[in-house]
Amino acid sequence: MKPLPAIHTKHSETPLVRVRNLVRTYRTGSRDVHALYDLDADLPQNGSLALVGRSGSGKSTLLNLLAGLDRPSSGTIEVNGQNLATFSRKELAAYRASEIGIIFQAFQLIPHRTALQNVELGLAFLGVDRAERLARATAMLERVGLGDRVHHKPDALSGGEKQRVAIARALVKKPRLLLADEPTGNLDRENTSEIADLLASTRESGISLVLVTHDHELAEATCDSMLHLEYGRVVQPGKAGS
Amino acid sequence: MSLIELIRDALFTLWRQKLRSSLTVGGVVVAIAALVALLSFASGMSRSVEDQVEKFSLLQTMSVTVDDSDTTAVLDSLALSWMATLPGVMQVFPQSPFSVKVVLGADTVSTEAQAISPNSRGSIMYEHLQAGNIFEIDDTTQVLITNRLLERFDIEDPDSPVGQPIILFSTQGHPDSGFAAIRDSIFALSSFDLLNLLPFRQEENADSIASSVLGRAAAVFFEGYMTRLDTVRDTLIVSGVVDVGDDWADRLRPVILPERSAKFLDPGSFSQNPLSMMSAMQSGDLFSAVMQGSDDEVDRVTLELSIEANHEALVDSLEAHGFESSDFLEFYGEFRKMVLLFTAGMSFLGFIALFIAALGIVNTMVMSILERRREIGVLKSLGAEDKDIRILFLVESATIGLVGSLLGLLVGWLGTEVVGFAMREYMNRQGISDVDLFHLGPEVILISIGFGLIVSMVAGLYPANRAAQLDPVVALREE
Repeated sequence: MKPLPAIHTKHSETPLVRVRNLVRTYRTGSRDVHALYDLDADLPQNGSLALVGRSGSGKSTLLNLLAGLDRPSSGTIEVNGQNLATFSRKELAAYRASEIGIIFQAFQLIPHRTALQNVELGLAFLGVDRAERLARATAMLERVGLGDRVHHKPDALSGGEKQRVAIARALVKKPRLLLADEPTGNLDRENTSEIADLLASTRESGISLVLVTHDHELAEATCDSMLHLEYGRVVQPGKAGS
Repeated sequence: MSLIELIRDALFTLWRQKLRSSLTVGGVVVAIAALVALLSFASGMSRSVEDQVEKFSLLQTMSVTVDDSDTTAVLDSLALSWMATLPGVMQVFPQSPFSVKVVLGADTVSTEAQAISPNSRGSIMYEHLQAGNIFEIDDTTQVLITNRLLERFDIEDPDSPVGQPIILFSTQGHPDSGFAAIRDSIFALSSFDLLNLLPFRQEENADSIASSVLGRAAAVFFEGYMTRLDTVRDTLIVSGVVDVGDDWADRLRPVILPERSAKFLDPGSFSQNPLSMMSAMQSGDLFSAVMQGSDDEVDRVTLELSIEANHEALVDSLEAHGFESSDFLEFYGEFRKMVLLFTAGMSFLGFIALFIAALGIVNTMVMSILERRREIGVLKSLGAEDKDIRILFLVESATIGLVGSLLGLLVGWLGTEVVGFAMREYMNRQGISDVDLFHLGPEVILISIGFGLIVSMVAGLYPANRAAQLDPVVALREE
């Protein structure tokens, strides 16, 4: 597989992501539920971080906050020096369009669109014209090994192929940060291995990675560092595999 | 995404949900077709009247009669000359129709004739010649006829009667003939009848007997009036045929004669129409008309006005001299108001249908959003702004409106064509000159498509805003 294109950043000396005193509280009936509590984390440029922990530990909440899909109750999330907590809805949308790529456990492909149309959608909100979108999407699908599945709809693809389409959609925009939420959760061992290789290859393209997973093997294979979360707190920061 | 891509996506989405989309679009089609039909009908009616008004210059004519409350006013040549001097009056011509029988070829019909005066020679009314020429005003050998008379004779080609002889019979009843009948009746009384008159002398029966005798005398008078008619006959040559349309049919009689020919055929007595005679008796004109023998006096005159004529000033002048006037302008103003109200009413009915269709669009769009929450979440995760999502769904509802409006326009047009054709056929069979009941002008097309689009977009606003406000985290969690 060819390496993905590198991202060059002006601030290579500062961390790409800096999270400080992050709190996310949900109101459930009359009770406050702390999904994340006073959380600190850093991710260096071109670094990779695995978020592990049991269900309900706050991994996906943190990922959603990093993706700009959710807002913190307090604390800061700085990406490339900019605090997402202060962004307007429009700025957050622009951030999602240009800076990040997201991979979901359930693939989240649009069923009535072909693989090519799904991947092309990754560029739809960046103002890229249709011809260029199609060319880049086709190239990205070939890069993830789906050159012969371009016009297939998700229903006609296997689980592993679907996830590769989702990865192509996340990477086609050349994001600075790739966020993967249990990307192999619905896949068998063989496909998990292929996706792990694909995620690892993104590192060679200069893309930082935050991976949410239950799978310690996958975390070790793809990430430099790991955050173990429990009840919304970091219980074991350190290197992956430590 | 460009607008074209959004429209293409919207069409694709509608295509994927064929049944639901076709039902929703069907609602819009019915509403727009109804709106098109109603507005076309209002427009057709308005246009038909406006065409007639323009064709026959109805706004440039005024009808004048004597005000019944003014006993001094007379519509004679002096009055006509005075009217001709009023500002804005271009022509004055009398209208004093009388009954005639017309023989053309082998057929005879009863109709009415009318004289035209020398100063009506250049009237715009006579510009609508279908065939032939207008006679010289002092030519007593020629006559003009109207297309209405040709219809009575079942003649389709207006050129065919031109140059042909036409025989006119005028039969006039006279009070003299009525009195002669009474006189003959008295001479014819038998002795038995005379005996019947004896109770005259008994005072107690005087009232009933007088009533009986007078009733009998009146009956004899009418019988004499009706049966002892003077018949005048004249043979003339048809010089031309005038198209009177619908609105002139009651102004310009089927036979139009030079004044001298008219006076020969109608010496000024009453027609044999009993109603006109009874009306004249009631008003006291029965004998005075004959006694006066005023060939100069007419019942009504028509003023032909210039475009710049001040109708109000003319009406004031005429009223000051004891004349009543009526013109089409007043009616036309009322008519326009009526058309406006009618169009508004029709539009309101159309909008009710469109409102119901809009509810269908809201329902369809809300259903669509509920089914596509995950898709909305995905789009947001890929960087779609609220406005992108809003536009996406607005374009979808507008596409429903546009497709529905275009199809509705087509269905409405076809419907009005079919109904219009059937109505024209029916009117032709009934001998009514056909009118285009529906007119699908550009304004109707623009209004229909415009409102179809606007209403569908307004209907899509709420669902589109709801979609735009969707929390992506919640949306992505949807199963």
